[in-house]
Amino acid sequence: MGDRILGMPVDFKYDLFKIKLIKKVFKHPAFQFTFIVINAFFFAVIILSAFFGTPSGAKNFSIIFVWLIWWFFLIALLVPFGNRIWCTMCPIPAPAEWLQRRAFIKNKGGKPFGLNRKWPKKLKNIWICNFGFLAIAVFSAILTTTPIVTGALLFGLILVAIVIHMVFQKRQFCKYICSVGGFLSLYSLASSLELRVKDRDICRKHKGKECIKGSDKGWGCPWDVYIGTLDRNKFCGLCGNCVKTCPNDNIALNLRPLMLDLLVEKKRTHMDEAYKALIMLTLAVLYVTVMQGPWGWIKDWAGMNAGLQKFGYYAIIFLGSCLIVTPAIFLAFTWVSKIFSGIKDISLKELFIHYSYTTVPIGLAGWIGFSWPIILINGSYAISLISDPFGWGWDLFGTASVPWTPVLSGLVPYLQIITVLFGLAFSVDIGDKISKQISGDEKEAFRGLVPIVVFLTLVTMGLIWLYAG
Amino acid sequence: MNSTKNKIRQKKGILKIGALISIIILVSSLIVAGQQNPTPTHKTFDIAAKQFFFSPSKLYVNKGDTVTLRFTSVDVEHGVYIDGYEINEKIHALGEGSTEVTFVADKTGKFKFRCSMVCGYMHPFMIGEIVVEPNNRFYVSIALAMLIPAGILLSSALGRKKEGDLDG
Repeated sequence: MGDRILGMPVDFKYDLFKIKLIKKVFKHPAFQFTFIVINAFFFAVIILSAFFGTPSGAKNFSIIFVWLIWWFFLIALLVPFGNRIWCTMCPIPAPAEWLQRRAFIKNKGGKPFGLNRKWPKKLKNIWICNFGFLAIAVFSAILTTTPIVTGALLFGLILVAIVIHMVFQKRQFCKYICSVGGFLSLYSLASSLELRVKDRDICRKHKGKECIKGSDKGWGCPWDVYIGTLDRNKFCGLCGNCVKTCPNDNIALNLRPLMLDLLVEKKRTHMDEAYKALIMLTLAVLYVTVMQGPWGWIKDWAGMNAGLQKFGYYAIIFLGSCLIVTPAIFLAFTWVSKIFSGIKDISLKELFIHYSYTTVPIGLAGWIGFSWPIILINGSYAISLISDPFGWGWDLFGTASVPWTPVLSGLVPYLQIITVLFGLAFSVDIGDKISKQISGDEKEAFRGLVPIVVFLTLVTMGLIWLYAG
Repeated sequence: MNSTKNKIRQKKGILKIGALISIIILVSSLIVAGQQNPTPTHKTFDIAAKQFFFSPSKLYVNKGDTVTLRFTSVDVEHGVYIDGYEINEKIHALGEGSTEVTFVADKTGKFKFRCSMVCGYMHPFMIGEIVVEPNNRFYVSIALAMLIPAGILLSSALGRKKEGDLDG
């Protein structure tokens, strides 16, 4: 493709493994284990503080470090610039995986512990992730402010991961169950980092396939991915096992333009991914409205302060917006696109799926926009909590009395606006390329794109109004 | 040769039209914004602070107005912090009196005011808004949200035309 994404050539790649230290770290047998263990320590503090610490969310380590610190770094930095690097170090499936492998670091061979079943073909999609995320999201007002609820969720996920790992092969929990994994599988397509083979011919001719089977140097891909033909980030957890096991040094960790995988045309066939894109876009709007807006009645409904009946209405509106309203509106714009363009050899459903990927950049930008005030206004809670994680009156590092201190509060709306304008620019540019991919005729492609751009622009204007209007 | 010159003229024409439309949108938005500039006055608002919202929760003032916000809690102790103005005051619990905050609205735009004393589980969401008109930031942002897609589409159309000329 001799093209550009907002000025960046689509074929630009820089192999980070040219930096010897990065390659050495990835190839080290204890690479993933080390990061998981560090994370597991913080995770243990989170779980313990959730269950045994103060019930006041703003003074509890679990609430601040999960829903402020971790969330901001995940959505604003790790995902756009690090692909699924969070999955590399996530402590949630770790105990399950260690149990399954009967090892922490070295692959000693032998049959995995557990029933080792294959994941059912009908469930090889992210619908469970979609509904799981929505089920959690509808309770967000309570989840993100109540330590014990956060603790119960995280502990519950660990238990579910153990059960899934004991029944099924490899990391099916991470691929098809984990709610965070669901949106990471979509937003990783936008990331500026990828793990790919340097030369596919080498893989084609190489019979060993240690990247799948494993060797004494590492495990076979726990994500059930064959890197020899990998063309999207969706299910690559950057565990580095293929880097360790490849005998041909044929794997590169590339810096690349943002949004690249959205242009992999042959993989834009999944309704579950299309729905994920629209769900996440809707949630980006809803979260700003409920949590950062001035409308008290919505907060009362969302937080169950107005009673269970009103919470029920809220849940219906919330879920209905994600599953029915936004997809219906987008379908209408897609239908107009089909009429305007006059395109005949592609169905409305296929067009809907293709164009849903144009909402990924603005959706991600909307989530980052939502996250700016989280870190800048409330991030300072973390400073005091380092010294008193349970709210018990400790002062381990002398910072317990550091007061809540908003940082650069006047800058927040500017950061939000700039972020979503960038998101819009990427969305329109990606839309332009997608329309050219699906339509053989340039004028037809342009006409088909216009209604989609109108949709994207209206969503952006809505976000700007929420931030600054 | 004439055909090539005509095509170049057409391209320049499209570019000029596009630039003109963009300037019109941007200038219009600034004119609309600039028109709202009445004489500054003193505005006072009585605001109830309740778990977990303010009432009224959205206020409108003009640039230069002296704004007094009189907060009264209907339950527990709250606080108020105004983004951008960095004002931070305690709001006493029910029965312990009101809190007055006075400032000159010398910065335009929308500013959140939020509870600054932990008052319960949904404390982080206790947010109100003050809009200081003219809200230029908003109008210009909306203009940019129209210009950016228009610019990208125009660039794409010109790129297509250029390829067509090269093929021809």
